[in-house]
Amino acid sequence: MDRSSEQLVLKTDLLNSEPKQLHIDYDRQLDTLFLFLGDGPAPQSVACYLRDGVFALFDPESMQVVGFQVEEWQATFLKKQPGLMATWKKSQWFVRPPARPADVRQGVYRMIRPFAPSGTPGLQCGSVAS
Amino acid sequence: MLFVATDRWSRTIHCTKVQWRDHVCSHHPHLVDWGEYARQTIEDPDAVLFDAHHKDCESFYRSGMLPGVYWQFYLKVVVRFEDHSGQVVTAYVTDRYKAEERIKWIAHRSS
Repeated sequence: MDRSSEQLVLKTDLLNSEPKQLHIDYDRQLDTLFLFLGDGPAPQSVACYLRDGVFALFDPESMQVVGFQVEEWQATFLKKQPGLMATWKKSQWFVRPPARPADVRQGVYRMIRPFAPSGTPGLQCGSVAS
Repeated sequence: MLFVATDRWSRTIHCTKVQWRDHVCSHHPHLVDWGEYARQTIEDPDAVLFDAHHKDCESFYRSGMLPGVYWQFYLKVVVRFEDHSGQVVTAYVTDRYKAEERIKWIAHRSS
């Protein structure tokens, strides 16, 4: 039942509309960052692996991309994004404070957004992109 | 304790309520009542893969068990091992095995 060669076509309308609300949660124990296109975690989601530790999170009913999950956030991903690393450290999120500065939210979003290029008919998830 | 499971190698795996709440449900709230599915995934997986980054972690995958629209997808449960026992680290639903993970064991089920 391995679906590693199959592709899902995900809808990217929310991404394309430049979401006004972004919810970010960093789980230090997992070293995983969650970015949701809304004011909190999506009520339901499935993770579809893109590349470099980045998953697209999509609603399994609407097939809309509702967020991202980035594994090895500090260990690997941030090290490839020096500009974002500086912003991240300044934000002092390591203790998960309740307030997330808007510039950091937008900075994270701009770094992750290119992992899900919009196209026709939508994001082809599962393609061997590298 | 949320559950205790035994995998096919007779390793005992624990999952605490705090871990499930803080590192599973806080990011994926629909998994709040899916502890039993996680236990089944560990005890009767479709596949077990070595984590790409952490030598002491393995990922258990199981599909065809989740309710409703999730039926077609995998529940992935990540377990960290020390000696012959393990702790659930996190869990989420995914559509496929993660590309960088290496297969440890895969089930051959009759369809």
